[in-house]
Amino acid sequence: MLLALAACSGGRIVENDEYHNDAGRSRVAGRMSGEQDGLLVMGTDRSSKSGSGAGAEGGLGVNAYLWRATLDTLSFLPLSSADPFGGVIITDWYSPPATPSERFRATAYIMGRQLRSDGVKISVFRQELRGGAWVDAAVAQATATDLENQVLTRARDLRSQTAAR
Amino acid sequence: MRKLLLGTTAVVGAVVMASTGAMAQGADPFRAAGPAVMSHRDLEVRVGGYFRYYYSNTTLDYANTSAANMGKSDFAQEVELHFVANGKAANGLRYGVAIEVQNDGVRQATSGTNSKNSLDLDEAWGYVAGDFGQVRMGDEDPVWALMSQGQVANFASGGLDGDFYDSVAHNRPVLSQPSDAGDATKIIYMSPQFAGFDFGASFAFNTGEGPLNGCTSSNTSCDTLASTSSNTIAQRRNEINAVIRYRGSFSGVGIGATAGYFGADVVKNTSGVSADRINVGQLGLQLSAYGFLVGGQYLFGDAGYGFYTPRLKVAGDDRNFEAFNVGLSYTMGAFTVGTQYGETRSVGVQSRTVTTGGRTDKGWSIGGTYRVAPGIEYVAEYTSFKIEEAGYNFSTRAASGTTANNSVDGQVFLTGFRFAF
Repeated sequence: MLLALAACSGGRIVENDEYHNDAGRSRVAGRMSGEQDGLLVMGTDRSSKSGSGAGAEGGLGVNAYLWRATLDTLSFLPLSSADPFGGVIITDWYSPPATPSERFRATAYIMGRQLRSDGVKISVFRQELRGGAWVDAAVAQATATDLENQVLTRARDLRSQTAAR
Repeated sequence: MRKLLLGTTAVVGAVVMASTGAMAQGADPFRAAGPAVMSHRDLEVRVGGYFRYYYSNTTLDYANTSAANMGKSDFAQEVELHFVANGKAANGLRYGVAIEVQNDGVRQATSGTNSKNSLDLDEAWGYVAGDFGQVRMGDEDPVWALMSQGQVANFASGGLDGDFYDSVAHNRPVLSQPSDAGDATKIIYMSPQFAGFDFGASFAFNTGEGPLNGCTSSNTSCDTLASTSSNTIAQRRNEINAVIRYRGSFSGVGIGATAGYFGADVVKNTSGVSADRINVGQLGLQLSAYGFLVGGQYLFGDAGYGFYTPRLKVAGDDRNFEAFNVGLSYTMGAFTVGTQYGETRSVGVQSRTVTTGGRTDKGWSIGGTYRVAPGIEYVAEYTSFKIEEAGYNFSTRAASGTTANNSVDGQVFLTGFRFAF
């Protein structure tokens, strides 16, 4: 039964550092070589961990959890451009079916590699259709803040899902 | 399987040859023809190291004889060099090798001489891993040690699993720590983790390590020895381990638990008393919260003085092996302090000519670690142990059947620095 369980490949790969190691080196916390576990003499550094969501492993320049959470949160809008290194997401205009005379677009900035509450800034723009032309209109102050809070909640969920594995 | 073998071969080739762009061109006359080697972008090769420097002060019964007296103080160092190669194929398969070179204290390059700074290999293994789990092959601890939970060894040099043994001349205590099982060349399977659970099994035909079969002086020195008429040889065969492990957290409390089995046949003695098969179970549990780690392990079954040694098949002697260890540590910032107690009750020497009683090994350790900077630690610890066995003379280290010298006490104080890069 256990082998059948393994064969179904639904489990998490256990990393080598999750096994007991009786070498003296494994008992020392940290490395004189900094964040690197030993000196890289050849090949590509694979040591980056996704636990902090620092983003280096996936080739991101910003926090991976905030990046993913922002994409998830703004997914109801059509995407115009996304720069994972600069941390900028720009959506295209979108008119809700219920209110075809107004349209929205959003711009999100992810500030850095840290998962922190001020790590994301979202601006929402709104236009109304007046006399056959779209003109800028005010947006409730709380709209952008609500979206940011939704991003942070989603990022926290993603992080806890990863930590639980 | 063919793909796995090709991938592993490529890694080993990349490490040994250490050439760069020319590898894929096949222009190297020293390189055997074979499949195209992958780009270095897929590979990571690292060198790591470890160095420790300790002052030790040892008090040990019977260390002095009529012919020689011992001092108590000593300085000692130890070195490890780790070579690690890891790769990942386009299909997600992970693979690599890990080789640990060390200056071991007791290997004898010259017979009768402890050439303590000679380099030798400790662990040396390769692996392939993926959604199916991990297959590890080589000189490595069995899953009994790799997946054990409950041992508290995260303070000082490692408590009863630490470095104090290196300062004890003889009459070392047997305190049944997970890594005592040894690195016999073996094959290991370890599963992925499902809902906090993972499991593993390992198998070794024989107890030997390294590339040679051990048949250097006589047939009875062979790793593959199955039976002999010349003596009772306490050498394991068909060593099999199985472990199931759980790790999780509830309300901020980390829980680790393990249940394991260690079994092995033993070389048969066709002209006299043989040894029994080893059958030992292990249960371990550890809890961690707020910087505290508390844990313990219980071992039980059929074995000799240690869970990895066999018991002689002496008529009427079926005394069991039983051991436990418990520990507690506390970490606050750069400091960790901890203590561990261990006890082993075993059949002991089992002399066939004189009567000896059961053997009891007891030990405790207390100590601390100060992490000066990443990769540099200052450690200090005090360890005390006592071994008792009725009818055994610890001074002459022989079964005597008398009441003289039936116990031995030892204390070791260690302090020093250790470094890792």
